[in-house]
Amino acid sequence: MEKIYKFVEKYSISIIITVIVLTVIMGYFALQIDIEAGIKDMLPQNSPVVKRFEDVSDTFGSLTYTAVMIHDDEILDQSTLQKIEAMTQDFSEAKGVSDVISLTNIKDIQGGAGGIKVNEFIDKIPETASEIESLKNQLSSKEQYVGKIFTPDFKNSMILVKFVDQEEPEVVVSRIRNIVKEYEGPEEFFLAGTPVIVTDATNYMKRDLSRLLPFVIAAIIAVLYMSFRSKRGVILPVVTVIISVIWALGIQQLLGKSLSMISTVLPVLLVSVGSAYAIHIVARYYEGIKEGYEKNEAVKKAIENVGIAVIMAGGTTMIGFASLFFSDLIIIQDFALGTTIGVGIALLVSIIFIPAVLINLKVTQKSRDVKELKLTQNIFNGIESLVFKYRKPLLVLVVLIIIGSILVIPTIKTESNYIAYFQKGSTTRVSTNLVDERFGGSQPVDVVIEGNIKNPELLKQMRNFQEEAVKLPYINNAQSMVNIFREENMALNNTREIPTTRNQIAQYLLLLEMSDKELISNYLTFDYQNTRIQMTMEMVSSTKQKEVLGELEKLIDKYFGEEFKAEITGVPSLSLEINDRIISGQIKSLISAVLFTLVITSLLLKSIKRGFFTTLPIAFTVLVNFGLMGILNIKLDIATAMIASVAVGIGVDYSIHIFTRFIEENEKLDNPAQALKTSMQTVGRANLYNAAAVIVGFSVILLSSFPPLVSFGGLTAFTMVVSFFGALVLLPVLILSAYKMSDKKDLLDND
Amino acid sequence: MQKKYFVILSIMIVGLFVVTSPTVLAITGEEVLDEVDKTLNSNTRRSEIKMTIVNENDQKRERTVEIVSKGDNKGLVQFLAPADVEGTSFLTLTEDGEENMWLFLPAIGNVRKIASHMRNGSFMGTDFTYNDISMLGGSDYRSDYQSNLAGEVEYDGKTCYLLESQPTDQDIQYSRMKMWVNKANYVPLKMEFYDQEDKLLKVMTNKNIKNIDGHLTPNEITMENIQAGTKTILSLSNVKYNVEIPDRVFTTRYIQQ
Repeated sequence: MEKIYKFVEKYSISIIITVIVLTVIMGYFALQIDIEAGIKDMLPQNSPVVKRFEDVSDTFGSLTYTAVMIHDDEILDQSTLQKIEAMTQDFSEAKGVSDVISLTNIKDIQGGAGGIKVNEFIDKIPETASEIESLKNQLSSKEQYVGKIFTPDFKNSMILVKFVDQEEPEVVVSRIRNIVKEYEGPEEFFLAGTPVIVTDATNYMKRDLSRLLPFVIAAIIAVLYMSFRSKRGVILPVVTVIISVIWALGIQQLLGKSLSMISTVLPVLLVSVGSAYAIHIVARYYEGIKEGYEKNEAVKKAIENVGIAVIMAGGTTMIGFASLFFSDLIIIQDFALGTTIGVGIALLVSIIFIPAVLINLKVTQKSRDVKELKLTQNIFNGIESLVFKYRKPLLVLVVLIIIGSILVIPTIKTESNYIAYFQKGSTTRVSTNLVDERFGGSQPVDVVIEGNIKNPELLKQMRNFQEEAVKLPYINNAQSMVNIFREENMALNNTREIPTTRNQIAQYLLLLEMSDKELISNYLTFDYQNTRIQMTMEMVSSTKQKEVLGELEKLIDKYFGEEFKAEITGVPSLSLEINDRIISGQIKSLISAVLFTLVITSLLLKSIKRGFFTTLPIAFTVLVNFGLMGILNIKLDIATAMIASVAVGIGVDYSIHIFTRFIEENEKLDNPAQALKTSMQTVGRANLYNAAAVIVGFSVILLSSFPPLVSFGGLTAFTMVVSFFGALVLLPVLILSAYKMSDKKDLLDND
Repeated sequence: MQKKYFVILSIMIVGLFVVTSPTVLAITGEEVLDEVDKTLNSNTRRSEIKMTIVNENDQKRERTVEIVSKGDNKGLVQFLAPADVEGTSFLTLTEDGEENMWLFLPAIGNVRKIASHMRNGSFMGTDFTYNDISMLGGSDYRSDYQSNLAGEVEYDGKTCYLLESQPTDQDIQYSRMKMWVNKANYVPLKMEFYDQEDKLLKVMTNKNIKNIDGHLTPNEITMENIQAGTKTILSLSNVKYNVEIPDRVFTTRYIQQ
């Protein structure tokens, strides 16, 4: 620590200049960082579920699409149809769009003088009322389009816009939105589909966070001012977090990373977390000044005495965030990277830059006699009497809370469906619900089957499967070669039977190929060996998705099981994979966070027992966090999955500060009770300032109109409260109890 | 246009066969076509054609048909393989300048008369449209296109007449076409078709030209769709000219047997 001080003292001016220059450079890169929102990008590329999704997209066309629903009193009137036709054209020409399906380009198999004829359904837009009537009659008989491209009342029509796989969905969604805007009115438009939902979620987060960030900073400034009552006590921590946010973003941009929906919380998180290290250094500096030290001496004392605790605290916070690397989701791994870098920089700035600044500032008389708020004193007196008077009841209470939390944890549900993020009346939710209601869903669910389509058994089982599948809740619009053959037979023989012999199937196919080569490529590979059934699924919770996909798996076993190899893919499969990985990642991250924290605190405090005592309050905090999620029915999703690791990372700091000070004082006084009191009164204050800043910071996010942000902000603030009291109440109670239970005074001495 | 479908067949049946003609100096584009056209005259012919259809991912489908024709008004295509489409037949008859087509799919039953929209579709699922096939026949080509001789060029080591043609029939989907005709024997070796935006769409090449019964016959005809990345290779075998084929073969009753 002394070396650090000497280094800072010697190069203080160069340090200040270097940091400022680097911050300007990083700021340049930080401004260029992109935000990405693809659902597929959340999963690792080598995941089998992603691979299957991509294979099917390659073979049969993109599985990523946006549903644009048009509502009007009469969709078949000339102006609306012309609009649909023009929009279809505009969408097709938009970059990133691979294919568009709409009322004006759907194909129709018609019977002719003989044979069949495959045409665009509407080759001429009807003009008169009678033409519209006759078109209605024609369309009504087309079972594969009713409820998929238009509703039976002809008041709603659908344009499906498929995306090129490599394109960033949010970019394409905004292109689609711009086109829709041009055509709005009198017809109403509703957009649905996963790309839209994910894009909306990201935009909401971005918007709310950039609106709230100034308030977060203002709140923290207010808390800091109330704590330190001095300008530098406010400015230095704020400058620290601003530098670390800029650097964290800049470095991520340089590493070629982009921000995801969840890493947009990074600035708020760093503002709250990063200020802590600066607060401890500044607080200890003021302690020294108050005791009458000269400024350089005070800076030296601050580095020597809290430097190690700050490094330990920062180290454990970095570990907490870094433990999220163990997540199986790319989106969380990227978040881990950003936050670990950000915390590391905040730590570095606090230890080196702030002392460098303090050395170059004059000590004013004012800073020697800063008065404390009455409230702060009252809080500490209250806590002290609580710990010393009610030790046993407190222990019982803690045990009860632990048991209660463990009991509700199994009731926590996971959620990976983004629609759950939107409030009931929000445009995104309303559009999605309307599309679900009128068109049976906007999420593709595909079954791909290995087996020759000319095998009549396969075709029969496909038909049976489809009939059963659409009876499942939320599953609709089953389409495959079965429907094409039925239409073909309708055109040829006025019956909807499917062909029943190999030769029949082969000849039906030949006839189709002679009429339109493209029509069947959507459902069948060139070699006839692979075929798919397309379905749509409504936007429902992950729990329901899982149930329904489970039922589909059963149907697959029943109809294709022995003879053919069939698999499900589509957006719900991806989202369930994300769901599963949230849980597995959560468990891995938590275990590793707690273990590493135990290891690092044990190493730094040179005792496993000490490490254990320091880690215990945070383990308690994590349990209570899950307990609260269980009680309030908050779902475990990609945002809330991070809270436990965040809590470990930030929350353990309070215990570390209390415990290191306790050891320091106990060595001096050889009186555990008095040592505890001193620790609580001194470093506990810094803890309080820090906790208050973090809690207020995260509480500001509660003002967001976006539910996932509210639960993230609320839960994080709550866990900070719990870990603050864990360190100031539970930890002292545990230490006291340990001394009471064993008479050995060296209980917590070095091993 | 009316004769188009017969010409389809004549091409499908024999590919291109040519009776060597004397070289004419200072020839025009139209005259070159006349010479090409002359080479198409034949009586009866019979051949087997293996159609290999290759998609953009290099996956293949193979079908074998037998094609017979008689005079300039009767043609019949019958599928030999794969087994599941065997017996599928396609009959073309031209009577009083009016062309009629019938299709018979044995597993589906009933001979069906095919309407004229078929010409826009793919010929038997290949990269050839009915129009392509018909344009191979010089006579039809002459009536639908205005052709100019753009010069003499080397192609595949042979001196060729290069013809540049614009369609006069507005139903034709191409904006223009180029044709390389071997100057020595009037066998067309290559054709290029351009789409409405004047981008190269398809390329047809004739290879492996053999003299069969005095007729120069390309034994391999390839049509490549440059934009879609697909192609179709027609391989001819058992080509016979001037064989005895009774008229009853060219009836709807016969193809149902």
